[in-house]
Parts: sequence; C-alpha cells; structure tokens
Amino acid sequence: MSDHQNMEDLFRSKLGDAEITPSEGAWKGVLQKLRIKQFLRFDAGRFNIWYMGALLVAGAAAVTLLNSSPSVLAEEEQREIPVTEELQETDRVSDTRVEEKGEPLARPEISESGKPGKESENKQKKIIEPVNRTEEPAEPEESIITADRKEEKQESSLGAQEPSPDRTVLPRFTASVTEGCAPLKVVFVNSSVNSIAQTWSFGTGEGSEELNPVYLYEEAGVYAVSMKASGADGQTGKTHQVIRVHPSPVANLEMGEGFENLDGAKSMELMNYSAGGFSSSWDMLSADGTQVGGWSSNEFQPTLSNNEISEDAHMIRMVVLNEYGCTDTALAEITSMKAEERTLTFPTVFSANRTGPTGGHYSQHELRIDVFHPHFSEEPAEYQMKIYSKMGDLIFETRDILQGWDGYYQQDRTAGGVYLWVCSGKWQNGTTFRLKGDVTLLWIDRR
Amino acid sequence: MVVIKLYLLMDVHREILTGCIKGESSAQKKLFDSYSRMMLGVCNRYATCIEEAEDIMQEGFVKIFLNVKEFKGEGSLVAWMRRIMINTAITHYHKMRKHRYHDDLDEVRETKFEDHQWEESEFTKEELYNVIQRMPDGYRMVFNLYAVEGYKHREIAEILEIDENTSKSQYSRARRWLQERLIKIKESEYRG
Repeated sequence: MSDHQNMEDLFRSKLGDAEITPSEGAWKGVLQKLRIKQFLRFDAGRFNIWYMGALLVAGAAAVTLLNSSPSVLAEEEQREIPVTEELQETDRVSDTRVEEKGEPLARPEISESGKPGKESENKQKKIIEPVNRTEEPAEPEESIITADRKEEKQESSLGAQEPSPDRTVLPRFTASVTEGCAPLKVVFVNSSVNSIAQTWSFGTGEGSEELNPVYLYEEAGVYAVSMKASGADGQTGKTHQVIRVHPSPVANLEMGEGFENLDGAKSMELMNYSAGGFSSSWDMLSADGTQVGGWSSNEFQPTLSNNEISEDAHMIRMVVLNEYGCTDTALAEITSMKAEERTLTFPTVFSANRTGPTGGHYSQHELRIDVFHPHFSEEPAEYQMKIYSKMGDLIFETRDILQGWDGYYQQDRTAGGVYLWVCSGKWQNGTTFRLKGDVTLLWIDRR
Repeated sequence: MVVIKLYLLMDVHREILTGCIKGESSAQKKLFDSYSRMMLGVCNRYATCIEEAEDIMQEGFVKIFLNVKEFKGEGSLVAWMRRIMINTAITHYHKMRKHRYHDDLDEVRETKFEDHQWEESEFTKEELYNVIQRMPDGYRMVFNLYAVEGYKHREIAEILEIDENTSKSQYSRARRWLQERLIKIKESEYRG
C-alpha cells in the first residue's frame, strides 16, 4: 500500500522538514554567542599588543636610564641587547598568535643592536600588522629596516659617543583609511620624529614631498605606500603601509519599452546595464533626493507600472553592490512615464439627441457624441460625476465612468444651455482628483 | 509560477545575504526569523532534548553569520545553512562524547530483523522526535546522517571519524533499536 513506509521514509517524511518554534530568548542567545566569538576572534591580538606595548615602554624607560652615563655606554649597550631582544621575541610571538605569521621578521632584527628607535618602529609595525594581515610583503620590510639600522649602527660606531636617542629619525605615518572602494581618497599624516623632510611614494609611480599629502587612488589594487623621512644630520628612515583599493561596480540603468499589462495598466521594464555588481537595489526618490515609499525592488531588472509611481516620485534610483561592499548609484528621471499621466477631460459642448433618452452608456470603443462624458487615459478606481443646472439643481449623477449624461432628466428633455458638472474620484495609485466645469447643451435632430 | 517564486526568493535571500555579509544585525535577525524554525527542527533530531537542540541551533547561526562570506552562491542558501547546522551538531556530539556515558553497543537482542512497515499517520512528529532523542548518541548520529540526510556510509565515516564498517553496523543496530521502540509505543497505545 502506498501508505506503508519503512522506517527511513517514516522519519524522513515526518521529521525531514519539521519546524519547531524556538523559545523567546533564542535570538538574544545567538547575539550573545556571536559577540563572544567576535571578541575572541579579533581582540585576542589587540589585547596582547597593549600588554606588550606596556612592556616595551618599561623596556625603553630602562634603556634611557642606562644610557645616561656615557662612560659605560658601550658595555651598557651590550647588556641592553638581551633585554630588548627578549621583548622583541615576545612581540613577535604575540603577533604570530594573531596571524600565524611573522617569524621571518623576527630573526634578523634580534641580531641588531637594541635601541629605543627600533623599539618604536616595532611598535608602529605592530599597529599596522593586524590591519593588513597576511599580504604584507615581509621581506622588503626587513631589508628596509635592516638597512636603516645598519646606517644607524655605522654612525654610532664612528664617534666615541652615541648620538643621543633624541636625534634619531623615527619614520612613522598613519593613513586615514587603509582599505576602501575605488576611488579612494587617503590622507597620509606624517608622525615621524626628528625628521625635517620626507619623500612619499604612493605605489602608483607618483610621489610627493609634502608633510601630509592627500592622494586619490582611482584604480582598484593593492598599493605599497612608502615614506622616507630625513633628519637634520642626513639620517634617513623608511617605513611603509599597504593600501587596498577594492574595485567598485559601475551602475548603469535605462528605461526600457513600455507595455500594457493584462489589466490595462501601463508598465515599463527597467534595464540594468551595470558592470561588476553582485546585487542591485532599486527605489524612488523625490525631487529633493529623499526616498519615496511605495516601490522598491531587489530584482536585477524589475518592471515598474504606472500605478506604483506616487505623485512625489521624481527619480528612479538603482544601487549596485559588489562582493567587497562597494556601491555605485545610477538615477533616471521619471518624466517619460509621468508624461502619460492620467487625464480626464470633458467636452465644453455637447449635442443631445432629440429622439429620446439613451441612458448615457457608452464604451471606450464606441464613444457617443450625444452623451456628455469624459475622455480618459486610465480608468480611475473611484469616480463620481454630477450635473447641476444653473439654478443649482442636481440633474444627473453617476458613479460609472462609462455612463454619461444624455441630456434628459427623468425622461424629459432638459432645456438647452449651460450646465455645471463636477467630477471627483480616486486614481489607481490612490491620488484623488476633483474637477469641475461647465458644458453647453444643444439639441439637434439626428436621424 | 514556481519559477517566479524561486526567483523572488533568491532576491529576498540576496538582500538578506548582502546585509549579513556586511554584518548588519537587522539582516541577521531577518535570516534568523526566516529559518530558525527549520533549523531547530533539524537540530532537535541530533540532540537529546529541546534545550540542547536550541543551544546547537544558536551556535549554528553564529557560525553562519561569521562565515556567510564563504557562501559562494552555489546551491541554495538554505542547504548551506543546514549543512552548517549539522556540522555544529556533530561538533557538539564529539564534545559530548567525552562526557556522556555510552552504551551504544549490544543494547539490542540479536534477533532476525524484519523490516516493519509503518503508516505515516501512526506516529506524531513529537513521538518520533522523542524516540530519536532517546537513542544512544552514536546510533542517533548515524541514523540521522544516513536515513534523513542521505549521506553514504563512506561519508558518514569521515564526518564522525569512525570506520566505514562501524558506520554500517551502528546503522543496522540503530534500526533494530528504533523498530523495537516504535513497536513498543504502538503496543502501549493499543493497550490504552
């Protein structure tokens, strides 16, 4: 029998798609768990950095104290190295924990002399690293810094006395943003110590010598920005930062051909010619740019019908989004659709038929000139028309747009002359209308 | 008509998906509201009680929100979410395995096994959930993965980190266990 199932089918059919309503606090539980996971993911690294930063400061303080007695400088320096080396090693370890990389950076530096300058550089690097995680070219960085250190070392070995920490050039800068959508404007702020000039290279072949340059990255890409700071005595130091510019999609929209729906409403297809997008969202804006309710869509190419366009809708807006979260917007004015606006026009003269009352019914395909009725482009949702004599008497009333006035009042012919009409109602989209005017009635014979 | 419905659903998904990728909690809540009932229905099969099922479901959603960027759009979003839920349930099972007492083996008399045929109307959803939740953990995992999810024993072996033969024998034991239980339920109902 079709009823009978084996156990697998039984469980599959009954429980396979079964739904159970979760408890009241279920969503809150999700949020809580989510926050904990997010905290653990990102802040473990930062937490360690503050801790290590504190150690570094302590180490630097110790070193400064030791440096104050020049006679034992050489020896002191040697003693300093293990201290700072340790710190650096642990720095590296914390970084490693954050991003599982960084070991290659550690080795060469440990062999260098421990100086406050280097420590600060390390600090700067650490701040940068969590931001640009895995793609930073570790090798070039090493060589740059190693070279500087060698420079420093040479200079220090020349004289009997070390240049005091005060005059060492510490190259340092921050970028207003290190990642974003093209075109990306970045403000670079030079925070170097003991530098009197700087040379920037933006990674695009362009450079600058301003203190705090502003650069606009127009094309998407990954750029290595470097800055070389120069000190008063000819010392230089270099540092770098990676800027990631994501490609932005290009939004492009066109209004397609209009067509008529089965119910007679007019519609139009909105064509999406965007490039590089992954999803589009559409809505309408008023003349002052604020969003207008009533219509929105997430389709790739939606259709828009006349009755979805509210009175204050002035433009169609399409926002295209790509996988990097970058957007682009395109706008189109709605004039073309609005031009086919709803109209209701009444004649100013009509000639009724002497032969007798007709009831006034007509159809759009069979217009009657012996009936007073409006011409309209779209049938309203609600309609009412009244005819008054000059005295103010109500002569005729209808709620059917396809019924006009045949000139008769209760089977009798009314007098020729001027009559007043009032017409009110509501369009399909909800806007109301109220029109009035006068019409001259003429009696003619028609055979 | 069905085609249009699917298309619309994809667009609704796309909007919510985009929001979730950006980490917007309104989009996340929308996703949760739309699918938490279905997901809880899945998790309840893997848990021993509804509270545990809800725990698993919550963890599953956290995983979904943290990994939504990985969803490349191949296949349906719902299927992807279900897989994450099942993975979460399995991880949970692995954790619990260490703490819970197991009497997976030999709970069942080794009799000749005749496949009973059932009528769908014989049991309610709740009764079936109940039975499956009382199953020994190992049986429940294998039964769910094979009978309901449709995985092959080779795949189940990988997922549960057991031998393929173990999966097969666990499965046949699971069936026997279930059959006995279901028969018992019918008998007690019959007796009134």
